[in-house]
Amino acid sequence: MMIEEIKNIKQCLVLSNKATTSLNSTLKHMQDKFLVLDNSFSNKFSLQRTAINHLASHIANDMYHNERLQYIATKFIENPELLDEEISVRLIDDLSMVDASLQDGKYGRPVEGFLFPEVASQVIEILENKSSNTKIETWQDWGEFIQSYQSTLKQLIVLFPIQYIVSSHLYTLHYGFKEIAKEISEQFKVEYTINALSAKCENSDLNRHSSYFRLQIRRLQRKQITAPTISDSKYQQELDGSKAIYQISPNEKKSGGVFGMIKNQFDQYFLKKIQPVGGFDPGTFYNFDKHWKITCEEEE
Amino acid sequence: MLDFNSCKHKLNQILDYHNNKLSQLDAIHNQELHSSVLYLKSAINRQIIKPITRALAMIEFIDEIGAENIPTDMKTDWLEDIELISSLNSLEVR
Repeated sequence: MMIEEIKNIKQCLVLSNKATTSLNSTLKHMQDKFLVLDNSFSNKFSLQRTAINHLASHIANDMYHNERLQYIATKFIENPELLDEEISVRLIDDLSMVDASLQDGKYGRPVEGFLFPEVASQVIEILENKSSNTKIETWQDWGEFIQSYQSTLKQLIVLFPIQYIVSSHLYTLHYGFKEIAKEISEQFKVEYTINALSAKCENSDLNRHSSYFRLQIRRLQRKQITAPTISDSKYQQELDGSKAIYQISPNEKKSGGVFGMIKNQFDQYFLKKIQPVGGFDPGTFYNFDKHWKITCEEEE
Repeated sequence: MLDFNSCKHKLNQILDYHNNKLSQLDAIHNQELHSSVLYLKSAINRQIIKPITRALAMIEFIDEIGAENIPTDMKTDWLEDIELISSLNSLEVR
């Protein structure tokens, strides 16, 4: 009888793990793009970065506990005689917490590494239905990207009562994304206003307000940030069939020196003159000095 | 929220009045008054007409592209400027 219950607990743990893994992969995807965006804004979104790190840490902790509980359940299922051993009492206690939460129902007591099956299924459904746009080029695209994650976070927040720590993490992140959305919207406005202020008149090369707002345009131009670009790299796809993210920040685009250096290093890589350490990692971006080992010799 | 229409109307009235005064000053051809007239014209232009036309240009621009499309900082500065210029008693016609 008890083994049947443990089997049921294990099934719930597997489903819970699937939901957490799905959440983890969504968070990783979100983090990759967030770092690009944060870099463009001179790393001003520290609160958001901390929120992502807290959630990532919480998920990692949850996954660890889930795997531990799954391992215990598997051991008991494979060796039922262990249930009678005195040493197993503490382990059975751990599993009984999951069982108690299951008996509580949908919004039952929070147990590390476990999500109620209905909640886990909903998490999976929400994250699986999420469309992922791999190409982001304009501030409008970034706005849509952030909005899409805000909507996902909103859907997730309502699944967890306040006593679940993940609820606070998700809310903090949602709140943080609001600030990012505001900054993106400001950039959109800056671009629009500069264009309107510098639009030429029908019969002149100058804007009709140019005598008043010349300095204003300059001021806005200083505030303007070029939207970072994210796209699939066909080169990376050729290498290992997986998706990779390369981006060049606006500042580096403007700076011929750094951009030139990156281009040169890319050229060298494609001529097989340098090797990436540990393969491509979207997280390493273009920090070649730190992450790439130059093995080439001087060209003859 | 600032009432752009009433501001615009008020500023245009002030502008018309001072432009009219400038025309009257242009009509003075007395050599003895020449330097005083020039000084007065310059003061009216610099201290009254320029700020008013700038405020009118701001109102026109906001009307044209919509307040919601203007960056927040700039919008705040502009609205303060428009409010300040429209409320300056020294510009008003008595």
